[in-house]
Amino acid sequence: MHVLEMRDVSRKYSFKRYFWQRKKVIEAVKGVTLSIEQGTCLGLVGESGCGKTTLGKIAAGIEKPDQGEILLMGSSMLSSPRSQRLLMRKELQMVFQDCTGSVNPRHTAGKVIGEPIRNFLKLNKDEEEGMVEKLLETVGLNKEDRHKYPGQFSGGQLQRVCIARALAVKPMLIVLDEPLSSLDVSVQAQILNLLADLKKEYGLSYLFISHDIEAVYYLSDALAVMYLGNVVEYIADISMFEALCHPYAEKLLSSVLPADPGKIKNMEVKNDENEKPGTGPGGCSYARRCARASARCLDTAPGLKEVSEKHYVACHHY
Amino acid sequence: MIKEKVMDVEGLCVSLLHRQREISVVRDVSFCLEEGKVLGLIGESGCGKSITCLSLLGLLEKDRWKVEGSVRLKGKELPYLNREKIRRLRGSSVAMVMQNPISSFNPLLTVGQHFTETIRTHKEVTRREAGQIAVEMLLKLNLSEPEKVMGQYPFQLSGGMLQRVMIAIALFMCPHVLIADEPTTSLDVTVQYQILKELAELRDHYRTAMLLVSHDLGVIAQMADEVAVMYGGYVVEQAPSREIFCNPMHPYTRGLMKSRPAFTKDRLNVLEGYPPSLMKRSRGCPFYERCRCARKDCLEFDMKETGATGGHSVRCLLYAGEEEVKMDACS
Amino acid sequence: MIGLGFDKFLSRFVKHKAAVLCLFFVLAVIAGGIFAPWLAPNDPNKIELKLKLLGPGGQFPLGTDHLGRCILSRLLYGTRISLGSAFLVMSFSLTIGTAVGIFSAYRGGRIDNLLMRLCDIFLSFPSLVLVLVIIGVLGSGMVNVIIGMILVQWLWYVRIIRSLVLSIKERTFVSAAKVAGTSDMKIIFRHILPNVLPQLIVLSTLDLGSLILHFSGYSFLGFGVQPPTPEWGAMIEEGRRFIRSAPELMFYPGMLITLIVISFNLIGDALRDVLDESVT
Repeated sequence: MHVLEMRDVSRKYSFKRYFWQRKKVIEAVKGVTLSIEQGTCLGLVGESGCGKTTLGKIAAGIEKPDQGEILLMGSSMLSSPRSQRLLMRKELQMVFQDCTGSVNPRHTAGKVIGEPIRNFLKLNKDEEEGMVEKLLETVGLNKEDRHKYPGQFSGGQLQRVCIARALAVKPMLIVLDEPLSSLDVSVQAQILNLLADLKKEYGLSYLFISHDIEAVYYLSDALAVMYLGNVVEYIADISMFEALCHPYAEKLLSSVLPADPGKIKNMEVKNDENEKPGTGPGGCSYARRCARASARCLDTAPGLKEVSEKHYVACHHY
Repeated sequence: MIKEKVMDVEGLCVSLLHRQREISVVRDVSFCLEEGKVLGLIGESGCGKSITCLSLLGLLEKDRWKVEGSVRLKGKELPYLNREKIRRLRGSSVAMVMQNPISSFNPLLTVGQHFTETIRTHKEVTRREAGQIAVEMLLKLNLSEPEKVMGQYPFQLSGGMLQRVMIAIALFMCPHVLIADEPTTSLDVTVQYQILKELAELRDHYRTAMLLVSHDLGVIAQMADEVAVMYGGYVVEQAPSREIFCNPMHPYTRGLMKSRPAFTKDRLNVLEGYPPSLMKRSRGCPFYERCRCARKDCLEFDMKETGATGGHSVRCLLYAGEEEVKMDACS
Repeated sequence: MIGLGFDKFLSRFVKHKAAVLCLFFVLAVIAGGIFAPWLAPNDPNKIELKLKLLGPGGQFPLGTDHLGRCILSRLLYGTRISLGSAFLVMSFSLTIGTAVGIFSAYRGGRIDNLLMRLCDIFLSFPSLVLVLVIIGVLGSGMVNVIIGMILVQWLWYVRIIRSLVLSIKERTFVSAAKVAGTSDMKIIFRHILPNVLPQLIVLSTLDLGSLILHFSGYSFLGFGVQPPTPEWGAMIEEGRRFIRSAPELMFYPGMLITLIVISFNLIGDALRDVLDESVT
């Protein structure tokens, strides 16, 4: 069963600074179809500006797509009546990249974690307090920490508070938008372990957005690679990691530096950063940087097609 | 090949003067940078690595920071007390590349203006000659269309391109020492890869000594010849790169290496706890609270180097006195 | 409400010695106004031409004016109108400005655009001119001046509050609150308002001084308070004719206005320091 299904989802942003200027349209997400199996984690990797955060916000229900359909447990999110939508919101929670910015600096940890509880569950004060205490302990903090203000926590602790808030109403899916990038290396590992434990314990599903491919590998069961608003490669099983074959995915993988001097890469010249001019609007979005781009790549965009079982690539070469 | 010591740092101590208190931020740090070699400095936030970099450049304000110890550049003590002299050294002999490229540029000046201004403060050249030098430097960093880039404003360039411009500005005077403080942290992995590649090429070309600060073990493993691990203001372990990755000794170094998910699904062996905050510096080993093999006497430990064999030095009581340690107990 | 307890707030505020002094001064003046009927030695409006332009002493601690009225009593009663009207203008314009500013910033889009252009049009006139136009339509008098000042003042607050709200609206914790299912109303009252409140407190304290000055200015020009009602600005105006023979008629109210304005500014500055610190 799919927890969340996104069908052909698009989101455009238009900018107009002055009224005489023409509207500038940026397509952050272009017709993405992805689904997340219940109890699994879908990893989403890509460079900054590729639309992965926008897609995460759409999945969490903060942004509305311009086009497409979102199904939560098989029922449509966008066309459901208001009362039902509110119930659906409870099932989708999110953990943000910048943990300091994502909590109100004037609220205590207890108030931060209690916010979704107050909104979605009708509990009395004692029940709520007990729940907050239990949540704090679940994420590895102390009960007494609920009286502290965000400024009194370290980054890692604050991210735990944010995870507790997302966990509070027992959602089906948590969108994790770069939850590690603002943390120290040793703390990143703690949070990764915590996320893995919570997933197992509560049968949670994650949409894990990150640029850290090693962390994604650790936590995910499926993987999607995004490039300029498109999903260019998708594997339904992370064990097929070695089979990733889209030129961009390959480049991404080859850029990962192993923490082992025995495996030092001799940095051969791969000067493909320089963009080649002359792609039509219809071409493959990666063609300008792709070493293997052919004439066909420049005029028609490849669709996502199944190259082998559970493995989809959007590239003319496969 | 004869190794030449370019920069020699000995017993560097930096403390922050805060409300009549001295908070020691960098404690007894010693290392030397050799020509054409890279010293990697690993550490987490608040461990003092950025302050170390700034103090090497004499960029810390005198009335807020107290800097002790000796820093010799090519055998000569750095003239910290003479503002004019240290200003001349910066940029010409010692250059720095900072973490966040976008905030290191004045948004109102074009890249070209930044470039020519820096060149003209150090070299007596005309505007036009300065422009030519700039274009040459940018070409060396594989930036296509350098003339176009010179006319653009910082916000028009991507992070990777800006970082390249910054490196070009840092390197045009062929400095003896390049200090790179997390040069690729804010960049995408593919861009990081290219920037590192270019840094490596430039190091080989100019034989610059480099201090590369990073929290990313991959970056350090790739680039560094020697690695120093900082924790709580101390360099807790220092060794040649291969040695430290294959045979880490300090419990913190070991924990750090194990906590990286290197394409496994096995449960990560994490370091519990959080890096200590600057304000809470106490006696003894700063790693005490998170250490799995901490002993009572660790709190009394004066953080002297305890073992130094084959260029591998470590500050940990485990390696003091009796040679054989139960390593397995700690891992 | 603003992220620091009252005792902590007090202990920080006390460190600003000048501001504490100013606060006591302002409180004393306010108390003087409130308890004027008991404190005033004489009837402020009782004209006794025989006793005109007396020096300080005896029955009249600060002397008498050109109509033989007690200056101290008039100052005390004048506080009620000068400070009272300033507080009135402030509270009304701040409330309207905050409500409209938050609404405009939070809704965004066309309504926001329309409101802001409207503000631009009004703010392109000097506020003095605008108030004079309003007085011209409504006729002069204290109430009309207050109405005019409110009508002009709230436009400033809309602008400032809108920009404050816009910067907070983009912070991630507002998105986080949406994910947590918080309604828009609650987001405004729980997340946005408490975060703009410190700036508003500072702003309004600083502005109180200038409002007092403005109100007295209108009275001085003869639009506001009509004689014989005691009011500081009006008192300066009345004393103007005797500037050579009896400069103290202008000196006392003028000094009081100056001190009050300075006090509000110093208190505002101190509040800014104290409240800014609370977030970091």
